[in-house]
Amino acid sequence: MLAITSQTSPPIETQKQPRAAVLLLSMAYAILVASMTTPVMIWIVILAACACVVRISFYLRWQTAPLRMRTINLLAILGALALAWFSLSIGLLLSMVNLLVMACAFKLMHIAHEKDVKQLFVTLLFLTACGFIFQQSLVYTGLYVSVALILLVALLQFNAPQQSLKHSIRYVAIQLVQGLPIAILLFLVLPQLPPLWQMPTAKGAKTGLSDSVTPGDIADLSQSSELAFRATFASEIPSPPQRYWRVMTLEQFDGKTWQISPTRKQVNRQYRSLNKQFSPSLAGPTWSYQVIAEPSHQRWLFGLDIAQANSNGNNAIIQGHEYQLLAQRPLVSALSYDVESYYTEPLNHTLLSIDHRINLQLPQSGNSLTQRWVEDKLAELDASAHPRERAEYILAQLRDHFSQQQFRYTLRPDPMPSDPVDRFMFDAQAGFCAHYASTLTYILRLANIPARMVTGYQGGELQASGVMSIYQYDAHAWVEAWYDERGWVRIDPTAWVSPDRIDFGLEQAMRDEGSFLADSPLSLARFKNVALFNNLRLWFAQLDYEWSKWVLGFDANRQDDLLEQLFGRLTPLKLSLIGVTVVLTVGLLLALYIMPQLRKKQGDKLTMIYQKSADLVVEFTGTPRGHLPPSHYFQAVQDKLPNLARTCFSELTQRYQQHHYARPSETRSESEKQFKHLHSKLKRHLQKSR
Amino acid sequence: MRLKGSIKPHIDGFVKRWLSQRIPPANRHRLTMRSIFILPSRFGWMFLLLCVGLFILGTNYQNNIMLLLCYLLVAIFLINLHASYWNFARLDISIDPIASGYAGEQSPLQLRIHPTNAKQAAVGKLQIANFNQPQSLSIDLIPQQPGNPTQVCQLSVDLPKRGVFQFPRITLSSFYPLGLYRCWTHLDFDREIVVYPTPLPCTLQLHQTGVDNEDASGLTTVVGHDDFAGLTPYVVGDSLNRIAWKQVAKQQNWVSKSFDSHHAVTGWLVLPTVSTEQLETALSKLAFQINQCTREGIQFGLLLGRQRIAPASGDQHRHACLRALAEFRLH
Repeated sequence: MLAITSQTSPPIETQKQPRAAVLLLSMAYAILVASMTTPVMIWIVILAACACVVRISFYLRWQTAPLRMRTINLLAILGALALAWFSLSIGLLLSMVNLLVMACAFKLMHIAHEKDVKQLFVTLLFLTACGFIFQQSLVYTGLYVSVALILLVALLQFNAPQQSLKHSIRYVAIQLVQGLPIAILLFLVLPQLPPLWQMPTAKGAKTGLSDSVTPGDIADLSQSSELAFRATFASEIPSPPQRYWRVMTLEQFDGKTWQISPTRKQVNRQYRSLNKQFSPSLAGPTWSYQVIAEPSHQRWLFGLDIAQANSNGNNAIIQGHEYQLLAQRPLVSALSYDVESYYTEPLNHTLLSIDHRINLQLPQSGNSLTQRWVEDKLAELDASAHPRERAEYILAQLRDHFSQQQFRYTLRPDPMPSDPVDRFMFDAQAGFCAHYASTLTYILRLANIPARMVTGYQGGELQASGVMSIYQYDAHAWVEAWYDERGWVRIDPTAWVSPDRIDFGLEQAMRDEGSFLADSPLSLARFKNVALFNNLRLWFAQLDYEWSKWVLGFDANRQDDLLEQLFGRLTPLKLSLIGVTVVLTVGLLLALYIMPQLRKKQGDKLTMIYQKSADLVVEFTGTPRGHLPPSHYFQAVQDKLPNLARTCFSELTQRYQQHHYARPSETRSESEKQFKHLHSKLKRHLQKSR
Repeated sequence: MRLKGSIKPHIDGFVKRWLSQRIPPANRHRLTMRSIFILPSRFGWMFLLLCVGLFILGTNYQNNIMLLLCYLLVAIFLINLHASYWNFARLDISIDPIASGYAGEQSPLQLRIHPTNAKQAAVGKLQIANFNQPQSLSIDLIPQQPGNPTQVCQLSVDLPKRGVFQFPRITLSSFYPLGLYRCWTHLDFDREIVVYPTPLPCTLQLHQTGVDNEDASGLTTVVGHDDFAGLTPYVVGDSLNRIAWKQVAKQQNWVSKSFDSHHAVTGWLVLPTVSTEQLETALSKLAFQINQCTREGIQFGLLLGRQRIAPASGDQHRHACLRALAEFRLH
């Protein structure tokens, strides 16, 4: 019936302020997209940049008329069609992330209502969290937390436009700091569930070794100083030439590319359907260590031969018949597992017949020069020679060939598009570990000796306290051959040519060529010889290690350990008690945060005392106070009060009014004392005269 | 639908009764636990949904940082419950008495926001709406300045029809700080609004008699004086009004009071006997005449059914008469 309307139009200020909030949102968006250039397609990055430019031009009032909805819708439809086309090749996860980024771009171009700002905020926050699928290092965590901070500041600016930006940032930062203990508590105590369902993983996000090697491929990895995994040794630490971390075994060769053998895959499938796990009985001395694998979006794990592993988390580990470790699900987050490596055990536990059949496979044609070379060499040998003699003879011949022809180890090999083994053996005579391994394996197979290529990492940088970091540039390929009862024997032809690579690592080996991390000039790993930079790098590596170990590697097992350490054996009763304690602690923390507010409210203690006194008077006289001001109320009841009580109440009323409406002359604590004194006097008098 | 329609008034009545007990009318409201309601806003629920989404995503990708982020957002959600409440609880609101006005016009409304605390005041946007009505208008609470502690919001009230009303319950709400919660309160300010009938231009009709007789011949436009001048012997034809009855009662001769004639006339404004439909028009005409009389300085009385306001002049008298019009009801 009665409507309230605003008489004066709202101040123009409110028009300006949401723009600040939107600008903050677009800033957060720009940072997000810039940090996700790998998963996000380039044309979507450009689209996002356009959206940010549109926002900035709105902010600076270069553009005032909003973009037409029809234009944006048309763009959106075209974008969606393009994305649908690309999604066939990039997989579900990346399509979803790209879709989110694209949707945010269009939303940013057209913000018409308050609703749009809120939706944009929620989507961006979700996108920030998605960033953690691809990057989990300390640096990126810091970056994404700052993005979340910017988003929250934008939201605060949106809801309280009058507040200064500085104040808003402070406010949100305080809330984040206050929230952190609660979050950590929840993180430590809430159960670490296994995945509820299988999530799509990104094809493009895979890092590390690929499951096929065309000699030259691993050279790409050698340009990356990214961490592959870390190993923390509890036992003695293997010397550098012993650090051969097996990842996968490639047994199929088509003349150019090494792959996992289809026969092997089939055999493994059969084993799995029979539920026959590979579990050789091993004995002897071991290296025991814990591996924290970085998220690679692949299933391959790392171990020194012969590795037996136990997973700490929800992701089980399968022992392969090729002596390799395989996770049950792709590593979308860091995985820690404990390994025992029986380094003296021979690798002869598998079925010889199957291994022979798979590892004598040869390509139909090609590389004829090499074939002739092997035939020539074998002709010099007795046809009935033992396979071991044959193998040792071929190895010696090849070694001679390498040294006579002065083969070089290089990260910049010539391209070898056809008959790569021939080209390497007789033309280029310089190559990378994959060239050497590929050539040797092929030659051994030509000599009728079962051989295969193994890819993995060789080396590792030892940091303090038994922690070894293995980087992508440590990627390596070597050869295994089976020619006597020892089973598979590791042969590394790279070591013949460049012993430095095995003993001191890639950097040392590439010192003359200067190609170590040549593509990433700013990588701290390049400045190992500058003491300051090296210390900085090692310090940061240590910090990152702790981060991986305690945060990324925290899993169900570790959670149980922690709780048991704190509370002893976990019974259901104890667990429920812990739950209750957590809820209480969170409540307590929240109460702690509002303490300052409560203290400020205490300024009204005088009111409280007056109120109590007035209540006494009400009780005595039976006259309700209602909404009367103190002085009026005093006038209303003064005749009903006994003399002494009246003077008390009169003084109290006067003091109270003075306190409320005039500057009091005495300090607060003094007046509090006075008030209390008057109150108790009043109480006494009233009780007496009852 | 019909069921809903028949139940709704009952629910509304119940809510009103409950509210009037919980937040009784007052001229000034200091918000407390008793008067503040707080629930997650729609956006707040969206935020929680996002947290659930992050938990699922984090669990499925076994991603600890994502879980940590999720828990951090939940913690912020909890902290904001307090932040919202305490910010809103810093409000201390009063409204000034509302000036009377004519139906169809607007009356200014001053809403005062007092500081409750020397250091901190409520901030953010404050939404003001009528109780149970969706439209609201929003005020930016200005961060406190030392010189001017009280913020005065200039609003206005629509006065659609004649009458005397209690200022309706209003709803104040705030989404500060992050919009995750809505804090609101339904305040009842103990102020009345008097809405006069809209003046309707017409000719001035002053009756010479205070008695309600339509056919009285005393319908005039120019009689009446302001100042008493003296007594003159009664002449047949003098108005009965002018007979000095005190003197007559003292058994003296019949005398008439005579007035100085340098002033305009005096008389009565009378509400004619009308049907319900014509009542508003008649009252509007009276309102116009009251205003005109006051403007011209005419001394007039008002006869409204059984109600009678003695002749006088001046602004106070005008307001008294207009108020009588506002309150008038046919029986």
